[in-house]
Amino acid sequence: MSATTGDTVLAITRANLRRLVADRSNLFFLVVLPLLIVFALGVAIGGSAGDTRIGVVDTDPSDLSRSVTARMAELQNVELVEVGSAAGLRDDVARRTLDAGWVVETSEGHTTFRWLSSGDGQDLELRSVFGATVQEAGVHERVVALVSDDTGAAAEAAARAVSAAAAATPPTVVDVEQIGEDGDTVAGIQAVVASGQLTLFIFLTSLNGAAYLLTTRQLGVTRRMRAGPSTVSAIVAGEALARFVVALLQAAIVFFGSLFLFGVDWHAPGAVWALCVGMALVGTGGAMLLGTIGRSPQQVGALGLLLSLVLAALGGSMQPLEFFPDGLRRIAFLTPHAWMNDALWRILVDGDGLAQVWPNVLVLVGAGSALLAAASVALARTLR
Amino acid sequence: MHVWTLFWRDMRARLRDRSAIVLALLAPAALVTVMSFLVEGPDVQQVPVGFVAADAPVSQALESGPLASLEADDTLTVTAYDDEAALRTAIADGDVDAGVVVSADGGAVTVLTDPGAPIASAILESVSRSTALTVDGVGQAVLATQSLGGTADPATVVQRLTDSSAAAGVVDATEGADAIDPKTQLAAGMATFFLFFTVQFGVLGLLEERREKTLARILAAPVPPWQLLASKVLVSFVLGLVSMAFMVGFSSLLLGADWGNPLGVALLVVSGVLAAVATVSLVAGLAHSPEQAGAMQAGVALVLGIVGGSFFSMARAGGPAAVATKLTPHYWFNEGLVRMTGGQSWTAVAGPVAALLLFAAVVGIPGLVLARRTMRP
Repeated sequence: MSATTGDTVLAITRANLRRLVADRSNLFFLVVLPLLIVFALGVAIGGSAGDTRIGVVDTDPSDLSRSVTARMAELQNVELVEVGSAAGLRDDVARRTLDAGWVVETSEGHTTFRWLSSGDGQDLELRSVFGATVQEAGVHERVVALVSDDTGAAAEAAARAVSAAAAATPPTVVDVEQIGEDGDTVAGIQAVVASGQLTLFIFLTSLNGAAYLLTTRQLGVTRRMRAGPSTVSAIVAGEALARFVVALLQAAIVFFGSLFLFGVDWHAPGAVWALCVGMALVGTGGAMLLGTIGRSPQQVGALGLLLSLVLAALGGSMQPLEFFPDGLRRIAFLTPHAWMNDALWRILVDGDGLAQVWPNVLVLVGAGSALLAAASVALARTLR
Repeated sequence: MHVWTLFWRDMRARLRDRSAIVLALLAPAALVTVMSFLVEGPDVQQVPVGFVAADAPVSQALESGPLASLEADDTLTVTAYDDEAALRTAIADGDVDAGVVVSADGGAVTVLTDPGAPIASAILESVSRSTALTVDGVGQAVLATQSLGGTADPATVVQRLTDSSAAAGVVDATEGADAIDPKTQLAAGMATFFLFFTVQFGVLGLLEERREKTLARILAAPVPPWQLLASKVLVSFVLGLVSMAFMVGFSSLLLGADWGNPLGVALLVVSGVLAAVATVSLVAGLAHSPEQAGAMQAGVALVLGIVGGSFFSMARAGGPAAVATKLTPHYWFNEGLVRMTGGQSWTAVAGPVAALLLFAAVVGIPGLVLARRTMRP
């Protein structure tokens, strides 16, 4: 590449970037929006809302109901929420702001725990835990009642006899031992949320650039450049480089924004950036292709948004691939997003590095180069 | 009426350029289809746990009691291990998620938990505690009965202690809960999210007409300005209605969503579309160029959608997010559907519909006044 060709490429890139910055609204989409989403989703998922939320209606607490509540509150990933009435609990379960709940009802010494759940997810498991907890909390009362019934002794006498029996026999000791590392799950979730948005926005921002290329072409700017001493390959390279730089800029905004604003630990920054470069290539290729074969800015804009959102949803940017059903997970890997999200999940959750995720980087770079090559040929054809 | 002439011209233009179709129909339908597969979550698998038994009552009680019944209802699969070391290796290797070890003398129960599998750990912990306490309770009951001069048979004591009709019991009331179906909630979220993109194709056309100078030409003709404004508002309204109706039909027929009482849904849809048209009118009144208006509307639509819970419920988050979400039309649309769950009649949506109409009035009236002022040549 001669010096003048290099100048041409850079000049086209500069012109494109100036155009991007000139439109102030782009600032919103490039900077404010992605960070806002990371923040909002962080609040929604990373905070207590990611826990299982269980409502408790206990208007007249007894020792029994208090000990059930205390035991349930000890569970990991469970947040207990006090609710005023059974009707309020039912409404919150119906709108799914609570996943489940129980109502304590006492009549004539008999306590009933009414368990209510939305009927999906981990309800069955929670219901088992709750049943065992109520059983545990009520054992002593039952033993006393049973002894009192069988011997005709007064409740106090029975209680004394049971306490004496308990003191005479060693209790079965139940220990809980945790095996394995207890990661900082909240920070981890924020990182996973940020990583999904990183993938989504690199692609979305790239495809938004397609409309710019299209208008440039339609206004005849590219053809006029051809009239000058610029070669076709320099023009194509300049247009591609501009999009690639914008995609990397977007990556940097999400990467550093979540790092500095929300304290996201990216674990292996080098590997994350290798993935970003790969994804930026895919986005650049996609945008160039869309901008070359599209017919109107509205059409290209709408199609770009559609593709960005659907591929992101399918590729695990909105919900981690780990939570996909098996069949869909396999289909997901037809999208570039899945390759990036899968690698990011492994970096952030499993502690992998470039040594493990390089095949994903390779897939992205390969797909991006192929798209870019196809787009360059198509764009060059419109210039000749 | 000039309104109809202008309205049909715009509708034809929108159908020709196809971007309205993409945003109104294709994008929400595609997203909701993909995401409806996701709400089913990962394939439900039985949680694998390990168990090291001993020749002791607590071991037998665990094995034949809670572990057997949890295995029977497909919650757990229990694998037996010879000793604690083998179980620890199995947990470390990921063969099982958690485990329970009963010591040889039956005096101690150790629950080995894994922070990566909180649910399996919680189940094992809670059933181990309750079983150990129950087994201890049996011994205490027999001893105490004897000390008071009676006789007790351990087997019947066990039965009476674990009988759920005793002093405290758990009743499952889930049947009456009638929670909103997640697919419906998702479809409603996507439909309202894209509604705010769809409606821009009508009202924001005003700014394009102004730039292209067609606005001046129309106003030069004997067309009252309000008729031009009305035609644009009507285009937004009709596109919004079509998009919402399509999403209701699509998700009901193909994804099995259940929106509830049709009249209630219709009321929600109409008032929801009005709220969206009001928003875009305000944007048209405030913006100076079509590009700015498009960006503003996209920004407003995204922020309202995210805060309103189109993707994730902000009401769950509590605090300021739970308050902010109630300022959005998206929240009230979903709330209307929630209130109709369990076969409630259409009157259940009165509150949410009123909230949507209030939003439409508060945002739309200044919006229309401002938009009317842009109607200068």
